[in-house]
Amino acid sequence: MPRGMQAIYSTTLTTTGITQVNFSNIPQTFTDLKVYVSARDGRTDAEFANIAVRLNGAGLSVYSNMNIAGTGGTASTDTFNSQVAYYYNLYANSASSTANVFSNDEMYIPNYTSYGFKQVLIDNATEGNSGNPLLVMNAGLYRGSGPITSITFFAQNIAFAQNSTFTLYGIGR
Amino acid sequence: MTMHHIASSVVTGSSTPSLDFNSIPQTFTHLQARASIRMQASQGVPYDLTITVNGATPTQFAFHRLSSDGNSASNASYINDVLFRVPLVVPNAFHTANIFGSSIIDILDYTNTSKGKTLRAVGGQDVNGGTQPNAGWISLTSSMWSGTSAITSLSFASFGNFAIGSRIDLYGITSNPIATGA
Repeated sequence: MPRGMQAIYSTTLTTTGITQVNFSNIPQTFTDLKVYVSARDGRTDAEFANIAVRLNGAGLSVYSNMNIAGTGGTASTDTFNSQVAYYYNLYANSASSTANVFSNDEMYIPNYTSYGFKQVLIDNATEGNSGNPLLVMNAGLYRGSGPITSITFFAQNIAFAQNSTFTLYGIGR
Repeated sequence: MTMHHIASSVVTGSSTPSLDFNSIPQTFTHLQARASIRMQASQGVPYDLTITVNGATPTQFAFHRLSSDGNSASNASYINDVLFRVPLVVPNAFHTANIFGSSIIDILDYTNTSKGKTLRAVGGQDVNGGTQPNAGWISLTSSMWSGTSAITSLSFASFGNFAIGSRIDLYGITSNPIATGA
């Protein structure tokens, strides 16, 4: 019987001040992984906040990525090879953005149980009723050799807001 | 299984200005709409897909797009709108025959009454030529509504009537985990 898409872990933050969400012991029975994040952060000096994504607890040297982004009137693109300062980034709305609005982020990791390098695709949306929310599409390469068994999300600025949600899905044949 | 079909709206007649989903079940966590659409009217630049929420036009919506027309990337936004908007994803009679624009639209936590609602969409179309901007587009779009009410209905429209064969399928996505101990 086809397995389709199934939720593996789901976390809704019921308090403020949480700075880390970890999904560990990820079942190795699916083909791909998909994550939905709807988050907000206490940051006040910008309309968005960074969420670092760490795979298998691996250090910085195995992450690289390229992106296309827009924050207002212009689009930009960038590459980050052999990261030394960041893991993969998702983005959350910040306390400076429109009240009650949370981000809409998706991360997709195909063939996560393989022993080869992994491609990581990310779409981020931190919309707000102003001219400067952040939209980012990101293609990343994770150069760790083992299957993905854990994913950790770190609030890089202040802390996640209450009602932020993180859901991990497995997609299988 | 996590992803469930809620309903489909398919255009079979020539006078269909909107594709509506009413009484959306409140039993899922997220919504995903998959659109394949074209309008009967004619305009060089593809139309926007608009989405009226809960049968009214509540205030404080906004959208933001990151797009390419094949020549360059661009970015634009619009604030103080009255509906969700997914721009530049609806080809029409101006464009190559039988070309329908495709979009995948995700709305997270649509029943959560403590949160505004943020839509994220990937969509576009290629029309096998044309001179920009009257040709293909691809966009990543976000659109938000600061209201915290649960979403119970969505009405998709654009400009005039949809072309026959247009369709939008609505899915509900649950988040009931199969594992514990994260």
